[in-house]
Amino acid sequence: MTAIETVNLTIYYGQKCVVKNVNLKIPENIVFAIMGPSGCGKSTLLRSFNRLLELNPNARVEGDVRLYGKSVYEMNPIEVRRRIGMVFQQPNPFPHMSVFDNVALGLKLNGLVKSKKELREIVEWALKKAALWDEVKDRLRDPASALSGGQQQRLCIARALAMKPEVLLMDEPTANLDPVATEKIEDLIYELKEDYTIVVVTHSPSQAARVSDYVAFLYLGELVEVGKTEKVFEKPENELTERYLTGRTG
Amino acid sequence: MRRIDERIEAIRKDILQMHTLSKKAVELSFKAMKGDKSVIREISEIERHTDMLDTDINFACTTFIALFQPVARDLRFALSMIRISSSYERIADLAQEIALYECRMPESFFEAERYLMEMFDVVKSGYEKTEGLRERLVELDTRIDDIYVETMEVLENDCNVDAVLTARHVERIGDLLAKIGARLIFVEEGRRVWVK
Repeated sequence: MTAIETVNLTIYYGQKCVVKNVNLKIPENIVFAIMGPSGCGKSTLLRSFNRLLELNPNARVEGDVRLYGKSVYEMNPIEVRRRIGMVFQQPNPFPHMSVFDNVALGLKLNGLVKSKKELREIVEWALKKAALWDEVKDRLRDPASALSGGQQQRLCIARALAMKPEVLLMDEPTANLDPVATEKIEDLIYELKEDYTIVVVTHSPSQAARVSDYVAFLYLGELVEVGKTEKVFEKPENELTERYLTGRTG
Repeated sequence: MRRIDERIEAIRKDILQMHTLSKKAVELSFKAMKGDKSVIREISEIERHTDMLDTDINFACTTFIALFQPVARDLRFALSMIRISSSYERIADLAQEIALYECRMPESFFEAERYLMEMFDVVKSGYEKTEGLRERLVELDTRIDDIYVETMEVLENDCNVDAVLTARHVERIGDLLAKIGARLIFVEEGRRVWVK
């Protein structure tokens, strides 16, 4: 089943067209990587999936994005963002809030829990799901800022998971992490795909190769190639993809 | 990028040297088959040289993969050159064994030399372009297989093990050249093909 579909998706910043007529189908329960050089429009494309882009007054979207067949533009944006969670490049927990409250906040604000017991259960579930529970179970009241960068990123993933999304968007989730923390996040992505559809933006072809089942290559706002990761990395169809993957662009 | 291209070029240069050496070894092995055993020393030197080159190529490809994590064509190239190098090394081994055997082969068998030399030339052209390569190699390898079958029929009542092994080795050299061709097609076109 297709989780996310874009139909003739074109995005402008002011007069400048940054994503050009992209048609994509992302199947559910897979890791889908969007790769391409800096400035090619991959983060912009990602942010159009959960309507985060419309917070930018300069951005204009044409075409459609569908979540399980229904246009996200016919849905309440809050509902869209609950169903499509997002993790950003820079770990962004609420620094002065505790580890527990960081995960609990969205649940409380959206009235998604009926009791404190249920809240505790969901927070614990989300932290376990994000492979962080064992490291923080005795530090739940510590401020999030006391955690390492990698732990903060997994806390952000737990925060997103607590909202029980169907799709998780990750915008260069390991760009600011060391290799050990990166490996933990990549392992986590692999485990999470059993339950979620994950779309990862990365400028690193090797990361796309390691974590994804399908990969799309975006260049100057155009979708150049999309296919199974193994296929694209062994025998890309497009000459431009080949040049990008082998480091021969530009 | 220049560093990657330089490494690829160095590996390619060694592989082409393997090609030249193994071709020379096969050429000399036919001389030995015709009775000129003075070439054995030269074949042995070539065999030792290909052993060393094979080790060098394996090391160069392994470090290239480890250091540069190549993908797409570069990865196909590195993986295939390891296999191709070992095929050339095996061809030189077989040529040396052929030269050491003491036997008289039927006259018709020596036609295989021409086809093998042609196969070497066709394979070499595959390093530049692979269009039509598979078809040409299938044709030549089939001729060598036919010669092998005919030779075995002639040798049927003759209990000369050396002659049987000579025929078998020559047929095997044809197979190995066909496999090298298939690998070159994989590098260039990303297709996995069976030449035979």
